[in-house]
Amino acid sequence: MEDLVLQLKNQIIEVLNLEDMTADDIDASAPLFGEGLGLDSIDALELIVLLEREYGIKLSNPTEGKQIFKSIDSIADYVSKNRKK
Amino acid sequence: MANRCFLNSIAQVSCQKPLSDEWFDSPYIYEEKYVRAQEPDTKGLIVPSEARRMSKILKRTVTTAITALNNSDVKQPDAIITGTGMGCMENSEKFLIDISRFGENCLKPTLFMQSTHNTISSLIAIILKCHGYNNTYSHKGISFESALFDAWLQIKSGLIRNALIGANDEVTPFMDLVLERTHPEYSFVSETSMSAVLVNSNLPSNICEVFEVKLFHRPELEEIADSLKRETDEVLILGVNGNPINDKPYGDLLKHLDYLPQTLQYKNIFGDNFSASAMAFYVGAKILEKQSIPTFLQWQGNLSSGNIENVTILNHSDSTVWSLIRLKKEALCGN
Repeated sequence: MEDLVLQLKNQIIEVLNLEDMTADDIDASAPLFGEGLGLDSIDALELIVLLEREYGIKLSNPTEGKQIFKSIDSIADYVSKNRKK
Repeated sequence: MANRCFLNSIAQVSCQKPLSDEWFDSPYIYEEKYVRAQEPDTKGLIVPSEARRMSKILKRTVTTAITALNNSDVKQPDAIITGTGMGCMENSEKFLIDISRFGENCLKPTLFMQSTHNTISSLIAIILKCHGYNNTYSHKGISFESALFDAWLQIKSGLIRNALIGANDEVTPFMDLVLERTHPEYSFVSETSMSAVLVNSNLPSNICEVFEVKLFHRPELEEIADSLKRETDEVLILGVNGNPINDKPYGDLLKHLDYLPQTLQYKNIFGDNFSASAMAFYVGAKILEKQSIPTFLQWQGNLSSGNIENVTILNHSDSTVWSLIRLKKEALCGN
């Protein structure tokens, strides 16, 4: 799981152009939206595309997204259980 | 059209030092045929959380726009009008590569939103919270003049009091390869972001008056020459670059004049791209502001040692569309 968390952190830094950040700067348990990284709705779309491209996960239920994208830890947990590649 | 139109401030990002006039005394001289722009320091101008989603051209554009506004007497423009030949090229390339790799699924929203030509004008409006007239002209090598012409007409006719105008083009390595085939007349290719504030008031802080803006579609050269003959211009800035294909129309035009004007070049310093003529506008404004002409800009004729009252900029796009912009020093500063 630790490897997956690190991989997700690096992928999120790249996809969202968080240029001044390293994986160490991101608290895996901190909220991604609002506080924490302070991501917004466009970032949410970028994360949905990331999960589909990299892990073959299609998110069809919007209400599900709120829980999945709560933190890096919650994304890692969902990916480990649902990944298709 | 009783109103007058003045240039109040201007800023550039190019292959010269960004947001600076240092090129006037010590320009960067490049041996390469293709040079990318010097990236500006965006600190204090763009919020980091907003900057992370911007491509290079958007960062350059916002930087010049905010700098021009900060240096002007205008805080909220009545209109934002820009020109661009190719728009956000880097994002367009990434978006097309994604389509070819992933089909029409899984496409990144940011690239989709920021790959259109009018992203530039609209992003400035969003940042400034400006709800006024907003337009983008994409007419190849005459895009800047089209944007300027729109703003100039609206100010002259009293529809707006001021405008933020500009021209922006980025040339990616792939785009440079394409230009080598489509525009072999380019001898030195680089990138341009230029923003300027135009006002209708005769303020002491104005740089010069934008006296005349004309566009000609497939003109007879006599028609352009007649526009020049009305008064003997002391300085004529041409889009010459040393390549005979590019320079021939300018040479043909000069043959129609009954006097030998002092002609200047600027593409040797700022390079060629679809927005290059915006840098001629910038160079002309700086010549009038500083009342001197650097020797490296000289093309033909002797450099003037006296007052420089008029600068006329002539540009053509593929020899089919011509533009004439006349800047005047004499009518400014509350006279």
